[in-house]
Amino acid sequence: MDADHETTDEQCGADAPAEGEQVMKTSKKAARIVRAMLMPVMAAAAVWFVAPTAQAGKVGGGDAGRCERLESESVTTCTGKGKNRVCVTEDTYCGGSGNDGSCSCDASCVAAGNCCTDYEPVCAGNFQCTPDSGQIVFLHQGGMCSTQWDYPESSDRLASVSGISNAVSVDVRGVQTDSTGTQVAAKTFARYADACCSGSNSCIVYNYSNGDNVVGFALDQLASVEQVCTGKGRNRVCEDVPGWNILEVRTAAGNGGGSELSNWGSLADLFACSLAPEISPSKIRNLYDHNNTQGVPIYHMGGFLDQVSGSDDITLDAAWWFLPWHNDGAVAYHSAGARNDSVEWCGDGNNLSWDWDYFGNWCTDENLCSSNYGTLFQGHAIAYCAMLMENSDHIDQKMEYILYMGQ
Amino acid sequence: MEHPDDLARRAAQEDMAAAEASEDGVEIVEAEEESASAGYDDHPSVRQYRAVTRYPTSTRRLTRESSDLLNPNKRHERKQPVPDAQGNEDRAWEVLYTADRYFVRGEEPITVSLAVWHEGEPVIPTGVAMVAAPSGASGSGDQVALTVERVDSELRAALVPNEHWPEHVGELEVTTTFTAPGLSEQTGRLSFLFTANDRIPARFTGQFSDDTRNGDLAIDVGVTVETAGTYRIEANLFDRNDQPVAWAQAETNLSPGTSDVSLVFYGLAFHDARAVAPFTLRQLRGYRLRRGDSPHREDMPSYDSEYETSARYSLGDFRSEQYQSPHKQRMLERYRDAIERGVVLTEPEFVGDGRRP
Repeated sequence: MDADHETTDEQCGADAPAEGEQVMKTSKKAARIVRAMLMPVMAAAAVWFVAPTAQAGKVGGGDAGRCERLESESVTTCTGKGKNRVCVTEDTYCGGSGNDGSCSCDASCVAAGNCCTDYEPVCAGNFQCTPDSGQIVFLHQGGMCSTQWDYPESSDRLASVSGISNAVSVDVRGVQTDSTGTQVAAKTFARYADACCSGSNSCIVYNYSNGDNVVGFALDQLASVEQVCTGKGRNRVCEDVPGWNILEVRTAAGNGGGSELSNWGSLADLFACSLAPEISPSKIRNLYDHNNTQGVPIYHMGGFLDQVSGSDDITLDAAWWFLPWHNDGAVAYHSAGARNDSVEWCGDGNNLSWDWDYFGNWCTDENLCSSNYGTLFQGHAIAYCAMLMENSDHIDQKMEYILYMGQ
Repeated sequence: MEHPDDLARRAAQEDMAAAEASEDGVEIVEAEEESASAGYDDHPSVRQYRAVTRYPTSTRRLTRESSDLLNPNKRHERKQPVPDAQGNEDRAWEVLYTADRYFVRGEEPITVSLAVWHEGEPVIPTGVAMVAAPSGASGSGDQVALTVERVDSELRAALVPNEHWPEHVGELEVTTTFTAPGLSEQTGRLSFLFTANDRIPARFTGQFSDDTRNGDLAIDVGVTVETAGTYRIEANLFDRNDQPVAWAQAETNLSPGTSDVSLVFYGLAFHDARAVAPFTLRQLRGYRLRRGDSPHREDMPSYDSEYETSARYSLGDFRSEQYQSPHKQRMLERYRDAIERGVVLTEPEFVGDGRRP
């Protein structure tokens, strides 16, 4: 999931978390009461906000047009006859309108100012990096309902690479909004990786929320490979080796395990794009082989909302109730923690103790690195284990990895 | 003190020497991780890269903890609180809405179940309607209303998708609406990936053979292909003591007709697992890739039987060195280069398999 894009009332509040935290921490019990009171508000909101044009109170800015095109959306055009017959299947919407007609993929869109967000990478071949130049490219892949990482109206930013020679930070312009948004954005991400991460270039990839799946899907399903053969005769062995030189992937609040909010219409409707109902744990975990990272180490950071503080985002705060322990209001630990099963922390009934603030049994095993709960996908690891991310909601976490690494 | 460049070069030379020796067929007992205990080669991110690339990407170690690989058709719904306008604080209303599989191939049936609890006690939901349809179906003509039966305290419905959508390949949804006394109407959605019988691109023939190949175990799997394309075939391997040993996948272009596909299980995995022959191939499955499309695959029917290899293998038949390749060599150089140029690489705190990060 993603929650960093397109201004909403809630996100304006999210831009000032320090003040919100101060208020809430002064009255823990009051916070819990407030959270309980939000329940009917949220439930009612789920009914109110079904109109596709109504975005207020939702996380996300609706579906966006795109130039990227899946094969099933394509039209094959054939010319000539017999041996001269040539068929072309368009794999983009370049040269015309975007997929939904809301934006343009024609070259004239630059002057007209109505280009689809992914026009530059998909149609113009502009990836903001210099291919095969020895560059170290920091790619940034946003999350669900997003079309980019860094929005002008938000406080988010790309990683600073000023201290690194011949390095560049790149905002991946992939449209991750409609029901096939993960696959669409993965296809665009693969274009970036082909251009920016091959040859003498190397990459580091930041991703956030459902960007976890965009990058994971691309690595498993779309990664460029080159065939290398050794030996002769019967002993000749050929292997496909990755064509992308990705040093590591840095995932914040990853949705690689899926979000239980996606299972129920009224919950998925809180996120304002058509991808929201498509990221359930069953679907996401079966979408691709999460272990197949092409040998790229995938690192994760994740957080949770604790028993008293809650979130300053009304949607995430309410959604917290419907997710397994622990969670950040959008994804649970099994997802942010890259577990190969959808295990719930303390779901086995252990490590529970009475908590007066919560006024119930609270799960006291709060470590994302706890070995009590499942095993990591192969190739995945946790970057940071301690409680840095306590009381950190899904929105807060987008920048945490960049801030943690300092670049 | 050794200069980091020298350490990097030494590590690279060791990797290259290992690669060359391997090509000569010389068995090497891997010692590179012990050979450099400080500097670049001991950087946690480099150690993690070496661990991640211990085997080729097409094969990896399988353990009892490899839940996703051992249960390749598992669903992940759980008992979950649901929202209610009357308030559902403290998770008083909980629902489990799930099914018995995610991938549905050919004429396989699916069973959908719905169970509801209030304050921990089972509640029989009312006004239940379950409707199945291909994802994105526009008309009611594509929808099928399921017959719901009560079994103990839960509701169940069965469906054979192939009877209704014999040409379909792609997502299928079963949407359920229900209420209960004191609970507002809820709508849940289950998705499946369905490949209709007529769209099955290939089938396993049940023919197998096995042999060692360059220090690995190769099991050739027979397939009959209907639709040409790029296929992924994968399976799990267990040893005589029923311990998981390794997973392997083959990605290959296949033409219509009968072919053999080789699943190559990397030799080092047998040493790591202390595996004892004979080995048993299970959970054989495969699909035709639709790269860059949605749906991104057309499934083959899974092979429900198993295949036992010859018992003649011993650990000495299998290579015991880590995987080496020009790409891995190049990447190790890239890590050194990145560190020297000022990149701060992640030092993981938890790698999940008992290793020192």
